[in-house]
Amino acid sequence: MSFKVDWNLLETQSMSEWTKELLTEALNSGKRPNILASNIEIKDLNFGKIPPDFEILEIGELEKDRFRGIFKINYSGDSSITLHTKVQANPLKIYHDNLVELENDIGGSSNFVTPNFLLSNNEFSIPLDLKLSDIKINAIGIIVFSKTKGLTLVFRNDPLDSIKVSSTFDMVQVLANFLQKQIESQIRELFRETLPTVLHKLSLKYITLNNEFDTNLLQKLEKSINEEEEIVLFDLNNEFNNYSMKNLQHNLKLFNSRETLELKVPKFKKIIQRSNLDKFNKNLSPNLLTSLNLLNDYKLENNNSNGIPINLLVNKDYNNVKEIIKNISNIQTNNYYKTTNNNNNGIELKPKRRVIKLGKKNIEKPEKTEKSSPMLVSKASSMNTSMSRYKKVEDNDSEDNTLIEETNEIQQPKPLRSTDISPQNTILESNDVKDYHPHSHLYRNFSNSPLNNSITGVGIGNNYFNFNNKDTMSELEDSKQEFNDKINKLYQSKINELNEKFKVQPSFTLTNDTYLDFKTIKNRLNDLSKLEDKSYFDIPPPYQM
Amino acid sequence: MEYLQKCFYKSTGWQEENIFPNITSSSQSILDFQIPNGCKLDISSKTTDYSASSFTLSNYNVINGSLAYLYSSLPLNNTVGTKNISLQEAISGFKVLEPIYKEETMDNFKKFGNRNLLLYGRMYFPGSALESMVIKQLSPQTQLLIKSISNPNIAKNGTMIIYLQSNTPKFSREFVYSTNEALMGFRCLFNFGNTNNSKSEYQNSSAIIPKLDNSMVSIGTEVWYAAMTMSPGFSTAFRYSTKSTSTGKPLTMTLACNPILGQMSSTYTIKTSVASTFSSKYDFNLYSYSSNLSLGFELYNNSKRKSDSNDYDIMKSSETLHEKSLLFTPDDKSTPTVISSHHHYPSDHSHIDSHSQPHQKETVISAFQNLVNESEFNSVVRVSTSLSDKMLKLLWEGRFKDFLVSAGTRISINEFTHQPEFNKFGISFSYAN
Repeated sequence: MSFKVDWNLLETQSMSEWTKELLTEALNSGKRPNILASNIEIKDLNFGKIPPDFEILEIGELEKDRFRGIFKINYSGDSSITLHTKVQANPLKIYHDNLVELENDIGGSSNFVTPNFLLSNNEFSIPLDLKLSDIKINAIGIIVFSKTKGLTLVFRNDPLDSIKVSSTFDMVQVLANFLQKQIESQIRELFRETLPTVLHKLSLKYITLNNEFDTNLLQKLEKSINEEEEIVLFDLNNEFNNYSMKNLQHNLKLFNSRETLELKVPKFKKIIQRSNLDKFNKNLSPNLLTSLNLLNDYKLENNNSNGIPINLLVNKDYNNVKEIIKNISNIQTNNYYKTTNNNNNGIELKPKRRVIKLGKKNIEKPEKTEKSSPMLVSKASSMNTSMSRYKKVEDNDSEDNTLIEETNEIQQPKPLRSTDISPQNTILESNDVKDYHPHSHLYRNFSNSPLNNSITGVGIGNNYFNFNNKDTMSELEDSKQEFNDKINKLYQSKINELNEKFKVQPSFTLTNDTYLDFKTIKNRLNDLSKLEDKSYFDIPPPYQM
Repeated sequence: MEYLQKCFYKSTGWQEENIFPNITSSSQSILDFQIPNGCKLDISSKTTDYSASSFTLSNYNVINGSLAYLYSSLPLNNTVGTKNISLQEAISGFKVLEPIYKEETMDNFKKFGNRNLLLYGRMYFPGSALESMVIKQLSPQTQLLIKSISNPNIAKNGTMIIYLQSNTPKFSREFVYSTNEALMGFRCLFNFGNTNNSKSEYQNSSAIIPKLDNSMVSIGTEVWYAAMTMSPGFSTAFRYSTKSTSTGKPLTMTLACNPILGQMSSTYTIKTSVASTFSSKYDFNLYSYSSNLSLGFELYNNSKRKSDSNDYDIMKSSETLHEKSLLFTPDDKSTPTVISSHHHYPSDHSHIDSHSQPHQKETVISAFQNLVNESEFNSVVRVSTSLSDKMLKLLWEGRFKDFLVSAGTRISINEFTHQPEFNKFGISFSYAN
């Protein structure tokens, strides 16, 4: 939900007139104190050019006729207001008026205890211009709106930070100070008492306006009863009268055509359906290609495949290729963090990379690692079972030999990977994680990827069709305990490794097997990852935790 | 109750007109008259010569009322119920000012003895506020006046104001202290003119310069200081009161100014005919150049000559008049009292006439004065308007059966909508016996 308020539009004639009227009424409400010789009028009203910052902190209730929310408002703009009034400069006149008022209050005859002044209590009013500017407001307020009771506004704190008061009496320091103090306290009072009451009254006024429709209905009903005519509610509702009957019928026909179980639904002309939306905005979607295009200005033809374009990597200078690969890795990491932060309940996982250590003689076979962590793979693969059922794998010639048929129950996903890509995977520089199957991590990552939008994901093996993986979550529940243990081990091993790498002592402790101090781990990891690839991606802000 | 207070002052010979705040009372009564608020009923009765009680009911804001008692150590013989009271007397209006003679007050003092005391208390019953007043005469020329209101709901549970007034024909001064914001004040009034204190001297001088006797010049000032709010106040005023030599119509001019605020205010009030008075006031501020012109008039109607059948206090009046006629030389018929209306009752019209007829030199001044006093009115209308405030005040006061009724309204133009609107509306009934 968002609001767009053009602050400059407030500067219209009618708006300022309306505000002036409202303020004049509010300022002159109640009995005028004797020190004022005339009513207060607003001479000048300027909203300024700088709008206030308005932030909705919380929405407690949101219904058709009820709303409750907490908001925060910050203002330090250049708006100003100039008031004009007359003050009574003769203190004896004030004295006299106060006494007369007092005597009237008790119901007595006036001038009983008032000394009858001759000319000493003559009125002597001095015009006073008062300019309020540099208003700084910082407030947290609660708005409660209900259709029956109107709008209620309460400020949690003292909204007024500071205000600059300049008046005709500025050269008299004592008076200026006095005015400053008085006005500050008055404005605090205004925020506390006057503003909520004015808003409440106004809202009530609008509510009664809305109720006029109901009264109209009642009147029409009464009329029809008198005339003994048949009346339909449809006639009363003006809203429907605005549409032609033909249009409505057409819409109804279209609507009915969709209410079918038939697989083949008729297509609408010139209408994009939501499920097909990604076809149209693919070029705009942040997939790997477009991201790369944006980053490096590679003039890549969009071949509508989601793989890494091989022509980028072959027959080129090695440094260039390295840079491209770094970019790709960066994009993937970013995407990974985006998704894992949302999905893993705060557990942050490092993206796993397939690394081929060139110095080693025996490259560990993926089969072995797969066996060493059967649970994880089964989990990862089980996640993808649901996916793979629907998945239309474009590249059928992906190597099946990388997948392990461990048990019959586990269906291995078919990786979305073209054969062209496989060579470049070996060059990927990433963290060395032994526990993972090189492919399984890819799938796991993206099966965890959010089902949030209709745009296509990023990178190899993305969740192309955006299927909901919620059903896989239920399967996950069973193996949660084991999974946790696994993750603990994983973390420990990984962090030990990292600590060795950077010669940093671990600053966290494991309280027990199941509980992990994730916060410290995360911080540590963030620090480490910052060290690793500081320049490549931003650490997600902490509030997302 | 205010009327009884006036009666007490009269009985003690206290010159109310001689204190500073009343220097503009004539114009004030025509321009700034009070309009009742809501509907009000006031029933008073003088149970004995020394005590009176009053009951008020009004519906201003909420229905409220009050109960008041008054005690005077001096018998209040000179009071009249609303049935018989002269409208001019019941309603404070234009007052014809006369030079004061010390002897008379001394006479009163001697007659009634010193230590005169007036106690007054009133309880308002929804809010149970209490207001009280004590007037204590310390010497013939000095009195102490304490007024206070008390209510647990108001700040500091009430307030009190103390006046220490001394009043001589030549000079009057007054110290005021109010507990509200510790207000202190000093007011004084000085009367220019004949410095002689005795009537005989006055009569001698007036024989030499006969036209000066009916004019009076006063100058006064007030200084205020509220200690708690450190607010000062200062104003000074000048009054000239005379009677036109050609027509005998009395007029009063005042000029007041407040140097702190640069405010100047001038008034001119004239009794244009027996039944009408006109007053104008012009305010000007030296600093802000704001000005205001106020106009107002009062109009009595249904005038008729009082008949002798009016049996009010005839013996007493005739006595006083007899004294006067013995004391005065025939060519000086102007009334010797300050508030001429009271002692000089028109019920003795024939008596005066019998005295005045032999003397052909009766002046127009006294003729006019007599005419005013002899007239009896049924109702009075007061209208006042102010240009800068854009308001119009109307007040009707009259006699309805045995009640004195006063109804008034204030119309002003709303400064935003520019539509005339009623700010205030009220009617009050009062009955006293």
